[in-house]
This record gives sequence, C-alpha cells and structure tokens, in this order.
Amino acid sequence: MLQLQRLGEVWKENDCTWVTFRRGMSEEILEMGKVRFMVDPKRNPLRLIVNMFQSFFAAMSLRPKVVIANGGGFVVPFCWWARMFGAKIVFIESFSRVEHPSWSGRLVHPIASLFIVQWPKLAGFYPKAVYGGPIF
Amino acid sequence: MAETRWLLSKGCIRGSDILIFVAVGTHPQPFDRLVRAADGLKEPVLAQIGCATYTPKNCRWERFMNQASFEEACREADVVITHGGVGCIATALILGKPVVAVPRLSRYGEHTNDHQLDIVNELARTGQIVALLDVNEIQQAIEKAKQLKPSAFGGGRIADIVREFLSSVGSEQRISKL
Repeated sequence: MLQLQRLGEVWKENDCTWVTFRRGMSEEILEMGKVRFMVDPKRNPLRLIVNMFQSFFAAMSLRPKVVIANGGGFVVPFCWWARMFGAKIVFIESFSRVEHPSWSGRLVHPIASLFIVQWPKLAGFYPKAVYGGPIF
Repeated sequence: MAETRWLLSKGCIRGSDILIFVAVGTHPQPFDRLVRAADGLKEPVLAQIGCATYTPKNCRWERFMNQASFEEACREADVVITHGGVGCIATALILGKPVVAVPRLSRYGEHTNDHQLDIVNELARTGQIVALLDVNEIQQAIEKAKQLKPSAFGGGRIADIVREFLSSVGSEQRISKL
C-alpha cells in the first residue's frame, strides 16, 4: 500500500477506488477516498473462497477500466474477475522482490496489460516485464 | 533543551547519546526474536512490536502505529532497527535515518518464506543499510549503522510509465488500486 501511495499524482488525476484488506495503515485510506475492504486469504482455503466472492462482487460493481495492483495473494482473484469484466490490469511487482518473483505476480502476469518490475534481475522471469526502477 | 523529543515525552529515559526506534511492521506473524533483542539494548528504545507474543519489560512499546506516528518516531530516533519489510526500510531511509534491517525468517515462524533476505542483503550490499541476521550482534550493528550516510532511492520512473499507459487507454479512467 505504501508503494502505491508513491504514485500520488496518478490517483489525483483519475477516479479511483482502493481495494484492500483491514490491517495496519489500511484504516488510513478511508481518509483518502473510496475504499472497499476484503478478506486477506493468508493461505487459508476458506478465506480464499470468501475473498473470491468478495472480489467478484467488487469487480462487478466497480467495473474498473484499469486495475493497478501491487499486493500479495489477495489481489489475484480481483485482478482475474476485473479482467473478465473488461479491465486492463497493471501489476507492479513489489520492491521487496529483488531476485525471486512473487506468487501473485506469477498468477497475474498472464492477464497483465502492463507488468512492471522494480529490480532488473526480475525481468528475466516475466516476458512482459518493464523495468521501472524503485517506486520509493 | 527547548525542543521536546517525542520519544522522551513518551517516557523513554535518556541515558545515552542516541535513541533507537525498533519496528517489526504489521505482518501477522510474531517477530519475538527482534523484540527481545530490542528489550535488551542499553540505549533508550521505542519498540513497535506488532503481533509479537513477547512484551518488552525495559522499554516503551506500542503494537501498531499509523503512518504519521511511525514517521515521527523515525524522525526522532538516531538509528532505526526494522524488520525486512520494504515499507519500514524505505520510510526510514527517505527520512534520512541510519537503518539496521533484520529479515524475518520462515524457520522461526516469522514469515511464510525468506524473501526479506533478498532485499536486506541487496541494500546492505550497496551500503544503504546494515543487515543483521544474528540478533545477538545487535549492538555491533548499531555501531556500524552510525557510520552510514543514508540516502533515499532514486532513478525510478514507475509513475511516468503508469501515466503513459493510462493516457494510451483513455482519459478519466475509473481505476481500482490494490
């Protein structure tokens, strides 16, 4: 979340909604505008099912033209549902991923219209990757 | 001294020349290893302990902080000791603070994998932070950190790349951000 906040001007230029889960500073995004909370799967099958349903209804009601994702596993269902509803998917691999790709990145890469990595070594794992340097 | 430092006003006793802020982030697994080490430091410490099961006996602590409080604690500390989460590390570096980073390790139940090792080792390799793998060496790490000249990151153009993409898609986008 902190990483996406670094794109501050981009958010101001567009009609945006945050989709996230409740933990730590996520409460602060309520001050930033529209937000939808959903469950973080945390590798739990039941929580994943809940997330998939929440993601489906959120994607259906929001109908975003573009999704910009930088998260862990919880972003994957929403990205796929939103893609099904016609959204273009932008995925920014986390700054923490220096040499090894994330599972969320690997699962979203096939449907991404724009896939950005922050370390050059990762570009070799993702055929669509664009190297963007650090977001910080 | 006219200026009241936040850590002092929160009850830390100033007994040395430096103040330490220790942060373990909001990850849902405990990081007791770092919290215990922080509790044993001779310097005054404020610890953000997150989901730790161990509560410090010798220093001021809080479980979670909002971003503003976190930044305030970083500003007033002389050294920031943090887990290997990029949010914590980047916040401290952007504020110009020396950073000691302790990666969470899966074998201790501190994370689901060891990916924090990658970013901590890479930033230590380039001299931006001090990496600490064995918390028994925490005092030595603090001394090394005092020699650092912290600098923020630079050279990224992700915002431009995203803006160009959005322009190519069309104006007035409805965007969901995750």
